[in-house]
Amino acid sequence: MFCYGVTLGVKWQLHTGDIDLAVQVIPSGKKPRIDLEKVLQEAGATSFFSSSDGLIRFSIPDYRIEFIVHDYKGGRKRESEIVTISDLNINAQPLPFIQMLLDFSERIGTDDFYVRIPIPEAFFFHKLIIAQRRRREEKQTKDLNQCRALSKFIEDEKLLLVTKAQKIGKETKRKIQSSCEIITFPYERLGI
Amino acid sequence: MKKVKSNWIEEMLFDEYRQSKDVLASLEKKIEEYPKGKLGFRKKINKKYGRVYEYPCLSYSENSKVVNQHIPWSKFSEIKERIRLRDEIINQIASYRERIQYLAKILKKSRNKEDLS
Repeated sequence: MFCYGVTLGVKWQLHTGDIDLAVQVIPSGKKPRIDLEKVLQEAGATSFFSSSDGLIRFSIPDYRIEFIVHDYKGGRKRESEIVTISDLNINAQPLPFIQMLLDFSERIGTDDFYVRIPIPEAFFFHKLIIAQRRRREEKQTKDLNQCRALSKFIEDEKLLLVTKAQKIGKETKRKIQSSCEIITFPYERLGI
Repeated sequence: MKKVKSNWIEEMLFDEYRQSKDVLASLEKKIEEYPKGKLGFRKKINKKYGRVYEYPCLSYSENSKVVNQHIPWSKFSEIKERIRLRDEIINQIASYRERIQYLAKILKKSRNKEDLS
């Protein structure tokens, strides 16, 4: 949301100290391609192991970096089952529907660096889905409020590109519809 | 006394508070792996040969006494780097403490004392 504030002018003042980096897992050899832990440490980050969930996080002043990965088991995997990505010498938290954020991304940045962020339509659609999967009500409210703030910036053409590329089951469709009703966003615009 | 049920913004702040406390605990544990004290140099005069020998040392206090631990030159760069990393962690600890204090101040109005302990 912070990035959309910069790129689109989305009004969203609240942000936490979490930076989630989505990782695309590509099968390869045994040798680490990039030792991300070392790269981040050289950049001034401190790695630490969270005993509560088994995730290795990186701390920089005021921010915490953690890695997330697409959950190919469709969310059936328990949250505690952390995925080790030996190619990058990190581990990551598997979460459902992350692939759509990786597939529909755009590059933003300055002359010095760039980052890839999901296009707002993908982020919006992802939040519509996961909001209804949240166990905690306040998390769901936050997700839907983010959707509401983003909804004014959604382009139908791009949104359809995102939604048409997903395989969505009946139950998930029902959940999306429910999210749309809460934020008063026309479900028909999703084209699913 | 039980306080009023909070809203999602307050929950988000409380989440941030809890996570910051977790990070702080992890960083405080992590810093124990690093050397303590300051890296400096000491000179020793060899009276017999009239030569001055300079060597690096790690100065820290232990049981109210100052300890000057000799560091071999072969380990000097490694220890210097570890002290640099330790100082970065110290800065981060300070930053998290400040954040926790700030969040606790906001949350004090709506949360019980036990939640913020």
